[in-house]
Amino acid sequence: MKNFIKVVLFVAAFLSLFAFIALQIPQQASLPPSVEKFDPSKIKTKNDLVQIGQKIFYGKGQCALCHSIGHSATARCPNLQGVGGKLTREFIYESVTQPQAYTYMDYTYSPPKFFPARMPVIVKPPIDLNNNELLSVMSFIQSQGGEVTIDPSEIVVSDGGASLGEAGDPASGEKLFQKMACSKCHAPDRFRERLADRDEGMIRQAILDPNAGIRIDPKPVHKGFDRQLTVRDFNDLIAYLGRLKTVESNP
Amino acid sequence: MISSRWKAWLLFAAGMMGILLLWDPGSVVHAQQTGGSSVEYRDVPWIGSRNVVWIVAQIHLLFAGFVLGVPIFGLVCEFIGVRTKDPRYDRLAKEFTKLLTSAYATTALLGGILLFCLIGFYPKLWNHMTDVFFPTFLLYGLLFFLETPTLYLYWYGWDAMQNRKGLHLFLGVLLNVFGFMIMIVANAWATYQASPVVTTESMEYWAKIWAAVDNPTWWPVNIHRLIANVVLGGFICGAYAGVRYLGAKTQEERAHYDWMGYIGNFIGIFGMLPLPFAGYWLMREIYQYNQQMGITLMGGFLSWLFILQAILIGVLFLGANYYFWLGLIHRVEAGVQYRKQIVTMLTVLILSLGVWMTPHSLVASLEEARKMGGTHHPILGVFGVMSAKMTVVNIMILVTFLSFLMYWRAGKQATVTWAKSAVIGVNVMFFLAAIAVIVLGVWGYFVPAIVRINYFSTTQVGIVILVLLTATPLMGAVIKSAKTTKEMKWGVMPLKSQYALVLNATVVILLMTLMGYARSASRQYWHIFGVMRDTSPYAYSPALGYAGAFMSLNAFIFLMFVSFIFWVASMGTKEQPGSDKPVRKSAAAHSH
Repeated sequence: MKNFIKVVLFVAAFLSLFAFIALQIPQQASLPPSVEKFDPSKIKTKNDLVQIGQKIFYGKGQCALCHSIGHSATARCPNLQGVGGKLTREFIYESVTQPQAYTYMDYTYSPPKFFPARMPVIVKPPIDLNNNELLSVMSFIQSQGGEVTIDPSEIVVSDGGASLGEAGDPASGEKLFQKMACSKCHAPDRFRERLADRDEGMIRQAILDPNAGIRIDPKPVHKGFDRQLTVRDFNDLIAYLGRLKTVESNP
Repeated sequence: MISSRWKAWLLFAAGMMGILLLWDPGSVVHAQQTGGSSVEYRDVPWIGSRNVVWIVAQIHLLFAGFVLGVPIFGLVCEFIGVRTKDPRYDRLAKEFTKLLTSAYATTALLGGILLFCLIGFYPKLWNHMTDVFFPTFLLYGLLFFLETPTLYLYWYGWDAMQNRKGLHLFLGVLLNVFGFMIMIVANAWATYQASPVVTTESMEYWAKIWAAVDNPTWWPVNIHRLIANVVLGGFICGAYAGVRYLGAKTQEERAHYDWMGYIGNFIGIFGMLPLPFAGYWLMREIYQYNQQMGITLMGGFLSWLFILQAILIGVLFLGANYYFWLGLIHRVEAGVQYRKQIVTMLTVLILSLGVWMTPHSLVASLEEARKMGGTHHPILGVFGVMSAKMTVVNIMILVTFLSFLMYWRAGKQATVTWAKSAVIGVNVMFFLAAIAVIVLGVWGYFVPAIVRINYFSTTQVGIVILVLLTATPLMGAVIKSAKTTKEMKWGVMPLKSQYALVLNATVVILLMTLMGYARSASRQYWHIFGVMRDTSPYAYSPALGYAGAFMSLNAFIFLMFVSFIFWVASMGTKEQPGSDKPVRKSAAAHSH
């Protein structure tokens, strides 16, 4: 029994050491991403539609789990590069909503069998795209070597969407500024000085496209936030930065 | 008596088969249409439902690994006993099987509790799994009902079938076949969650089920778990022998448990050698299935997990080699003769471990990072990439195998004329293999990742496997007719060697918990990757510190469970000193 207790203590000590080491390495939990929101008010041009479609293609739509854009040795479904120039809008619509509608026969069997399409119906669960999302994905597919025939006016805009240029909420903007870790590099106290000689347009551009040439630094530290911010977030952030600038000039 | 039991089992099996054959796929559709419970999740206060499932699933899986691994090498031991007509192997196999029988009921009990937990806490997920896999549930039950009587016959018929060894061995084979099938059925469910395939409404019912079962990571996980179970079983049997050795009252007992510990450790190590290759195949399949999942594992929030894995495997390699070296010193009394080699091998192992443990990016303050010119250290950063890690893993495997060969050859003088040529040939093979592994490792820095992964790493693995497969039979042939110059003394190992056995078992258990966490966490916020999202409050994956503490807790609970079960199992043996105690005087003369 004495030996057994010694062994138990030995094991407990080793396991504690392992737990201790595990606590010393960088601690990073993997949080689920917030559910993507489709903001129709953002869509002004066909290019906007294509960009959102691309986002859905690689995100909620799960298209990229099987399809590739360009040659890929690991893709399990057809390469979609250039298909926009070959397929009509109607054909694309039918392919994603009724994947079994036009399928090839597998002649390795006698009599030949239908070759079942691996494509799920993307307007049904679990993917379950809504009409706006479906149109965006179709636009993205059309943009692969073809002309986008889907017009932004086809997107149904709900009343709740914010639009660019609306007055934002500085308090929410401040929270966002902290949440997105902007303050890590742009400490508010010193950031005021840099904001002093910039008008709102320049600030907007710097957030959305840091490479636009208004910066002195050759390499911007971050990419544009155009894909990360909603319109409302963007307006809030602008409102907060505007207030920050004003506080500087009126201490 | 047996025949009536058999009839009952056969009737039951036929009934289960009947249900399978008459199963009406349409009823699933009906179930979907009528709808089930609207409850998606249930929780328990304080500890949380996910933690309950984590503990139960982990301990069940560890037990399952043990009960599936032990019959494999138990059967091999019994077969060796039959071939060599050496009764000690038969007794050892019986003792292994005794541990298996004791653990079997607990495994089934925990499996049942796990099922209740999953149904209760995750009804949405379990409804989906039932829709997809229901026929496999029946198959699983059927296999259990086939395995259980086979195990009973195998265990209780051991002495009665001493004169019908062929039949007994056949039962052992059946036991393994059923065990393996049980494992791969359960693996289908788990791997489907990680790598589901797209099934469509137009597919036939059975084709859909088969597509879900035969998903991209199914076979890599099957093979990986099969090998890992042998490793787990071997090291746990080794630890059991170690504990019994520490408490042994007589020299006979010490000799027996020393030998059993040696065999357990040997099985664990030999199983462990091909394990990295199976792991490599699995990772490759994961990358091919979904690159993002591969990146999450190797370069994302789970990347530091592989540093923990490196630490554990490093400790395991050191522990296993240390045990070999102690055996060399105490059992063969050849320590002085091999001192130089031992020091060299220890140095190589430690250096390799250092490279393996070097993270790709270092934990550094902003100031430190600026001084280094980034988070990658200018010199050590070179060791943080896969090319370096694959190289040192292969080197560590070669060194461990070399340790074993030294131990194997110690105290023996070859008598065959070609022995010298064979030894030189093996040494040259080792040297060339090490050089080739290193050259490919360095070259790997200068080629695209896909070339390294597809060709260089696989070639490294191939070279090492070739060495293992060539050197083992060659040295075996030399040793077979060798003259023993120094008798192997059993029961003279120092106490610290037995702690090394316990340590190895603990490390292997931790490794299984760690890699199980990696496999589950790689799905991130998905119950079924890309198909069913986790919308519960536990959709996040905890950080490695929390997970590490939990793994330690699970490992401790499992070891306490195992200790209790083995203690209960050993109570019967104490009362029958003449019958079950395997190795007596003859063990002292046993060489390996």
